[in-house]
Amino acid sequence: MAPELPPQASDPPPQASDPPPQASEWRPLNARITVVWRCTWFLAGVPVGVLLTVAVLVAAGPVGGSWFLTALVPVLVAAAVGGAGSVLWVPRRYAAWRYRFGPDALEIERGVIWRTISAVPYQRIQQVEIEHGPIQRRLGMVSLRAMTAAALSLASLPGISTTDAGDLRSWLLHRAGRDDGA
Amino acid sequence: MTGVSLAVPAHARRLHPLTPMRAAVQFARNGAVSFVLFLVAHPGSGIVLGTLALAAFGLRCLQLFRTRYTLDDVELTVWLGILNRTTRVVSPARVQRVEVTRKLWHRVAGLAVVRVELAGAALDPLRIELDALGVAEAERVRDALERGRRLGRETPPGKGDRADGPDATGDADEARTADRPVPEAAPEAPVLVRLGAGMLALGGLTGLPMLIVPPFVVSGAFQLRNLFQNVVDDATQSATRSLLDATLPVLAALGLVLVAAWLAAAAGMMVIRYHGFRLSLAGDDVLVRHGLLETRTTVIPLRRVHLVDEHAAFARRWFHLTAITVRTASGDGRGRTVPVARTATVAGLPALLLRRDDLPTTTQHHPSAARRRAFVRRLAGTVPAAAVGSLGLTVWTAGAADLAVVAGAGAIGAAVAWWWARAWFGRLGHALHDGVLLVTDGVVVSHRRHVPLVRAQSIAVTRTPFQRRVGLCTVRVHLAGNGQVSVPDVSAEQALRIVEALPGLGPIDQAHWHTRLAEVVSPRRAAPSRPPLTMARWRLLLRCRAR
Repeated sequence: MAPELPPQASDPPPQASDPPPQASEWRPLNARITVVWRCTWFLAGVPVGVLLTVAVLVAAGPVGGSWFLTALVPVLVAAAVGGAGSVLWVPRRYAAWRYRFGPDALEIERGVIWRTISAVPYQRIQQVEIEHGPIQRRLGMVSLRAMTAAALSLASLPGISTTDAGDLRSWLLHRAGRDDGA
Repeated sequence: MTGVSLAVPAHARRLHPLTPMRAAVQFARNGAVSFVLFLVAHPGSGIVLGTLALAAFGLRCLQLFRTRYTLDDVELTVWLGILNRTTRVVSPARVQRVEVTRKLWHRVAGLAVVRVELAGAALDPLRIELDALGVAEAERVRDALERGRRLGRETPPGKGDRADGPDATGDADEARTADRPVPEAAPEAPVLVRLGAGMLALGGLTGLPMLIVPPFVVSGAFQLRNLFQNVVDDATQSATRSLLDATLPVLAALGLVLVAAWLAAAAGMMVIRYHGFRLSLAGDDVLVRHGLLETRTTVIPLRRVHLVDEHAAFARRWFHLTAITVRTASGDGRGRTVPVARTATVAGLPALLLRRDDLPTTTQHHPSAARRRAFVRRLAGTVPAAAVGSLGLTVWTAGAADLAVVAGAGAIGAAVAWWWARAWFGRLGHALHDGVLLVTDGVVVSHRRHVPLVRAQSIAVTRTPFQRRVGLCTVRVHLAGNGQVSVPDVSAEQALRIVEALPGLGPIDQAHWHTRLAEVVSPRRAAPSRPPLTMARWRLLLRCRAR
């Protein structure tokens, strides 16, 4: 049983009259998403480092009496936080992510500590959003969010290839129901 | 929907001419104190301040004057703003709730406020408030919205929600092009629930706010006793002692009066807010009317209901009372649909509100691992908190830690945690019947939540590390708006049954879900559930230890 979609760039554009989708495989995210997550960890370390530096400055003055060493603290902290996150967290997070385009619902599995499996029926989808930050743009990726009338629905797929995103959005919207169930 | 005209048509209506007066009162109320204080501090600034206040009031009046609306069977259009102009178009078929409110000022001036809520009305753009219209005009708007809603509902079969039948969709353009006759308004059915002043007063006295009275009284009594003890210890003169002896009864009486006033206020507020409460069915809508000073008429379409919650604080359970809240996707959920009623009187109301013949009454019990988890969670939270709290208290008051007090507090904490966990697990349950999920939980306030799964948006099953060790999971059913209903600590099989009951979900990858949900981190801890530790089992265990 061949998985129908997600569409590839070479696929013809989806039609409303497409046959009902067959069960597809669970698939991991694009491996390049780990680069984005690692960058996020490094960036998250910067404010921690700055706060730590300010605290040290207030409590004991410049580190070792040198402003150069003091200025190095945020860099070192960011490197430490980013390195730890990259090594300890990102691989686990990537391994925990799976998604599947089922016949009637988008199924997503994710979470390292709190593991969640969710199912969002296509007919409840109201809107599909495509987001891409600077790092994602550089890597040719986007995040695709299928939104329902529920604010708490979990239907966000990071690391979708830019070339596939448009087709995937059309595919999802063609399967979105006329009623939002609200 | 046809194109929206950005220009305001000539026949667009405005708010009532008296509305600026209401704005003036609000303006004076909000700004009077600051105005006077500033004037006292800077007496020379009166002219400047007065000019600024007048300009702000004028701007507000202009804003109200610029608010215009049109309404037909297909759409309600509202134009707002002076510089930044907004046009909001609402299809009556999408309306979740219509509310007509009249505060005392409105009643004196013959005005009413119409509030129209769409799904997600917690956000401003999804809520339209026409404040204020004449009473006749407000009723005309309400009736027109209802007529438009009924017209929009007559959608041809096969174009609606697969799960919810043909009446679930509400595209206004179809209604416009269909050119069908407007269905007649359904006559209002007899009143289903009517509440008298006695019942409302009882509801006020047994509501949740009253729970803080006993701790308040006990704490106040202890504080007074300590205060007087210290003063009496220091007082050496007999005159001081006699004065204190005379003052004590007065203070005690004052405390009693305060508590009585508190209780009277609680009962009185309930009576004033819900005076003349009537709930009736009009066709496919629920009509709720109540209020003494502020009258409120709410119309809730039954087909929009996605949660019916029967809830009762423990004091109400003693009197066999309950309250019912009906939620739609508007997500606002202000107030309760039925504030209080005899449990037996409203027993059939949830089924009626959900348009079902019957609802599940008995619930499935959760695995015994859930019971153990409940005990561990409560003990882990309560005992350290009680011990640390008492340690802090003894150090603060006596200057040194009293281990006996700390140990005693820990023991009391353990006893409370034991009772709490037992009561929590006793009330925990869920059931599935006729597409309705029933979830019961709560100790201080018990809940019976009925969710028609046909209105659920999505579903998620979550497992924390602790749950994974004992083979449990939590199911979350997401509802439109901000709502969700959780079923905590169910087994993998129970979770899958709930997931599969969600209409419109189709065949999920059961093998994968089952593997993931049944995956246990530590097989040692996932041994077949042990029997609960009853007294007989305790005796048996102790006997074995003794041998």
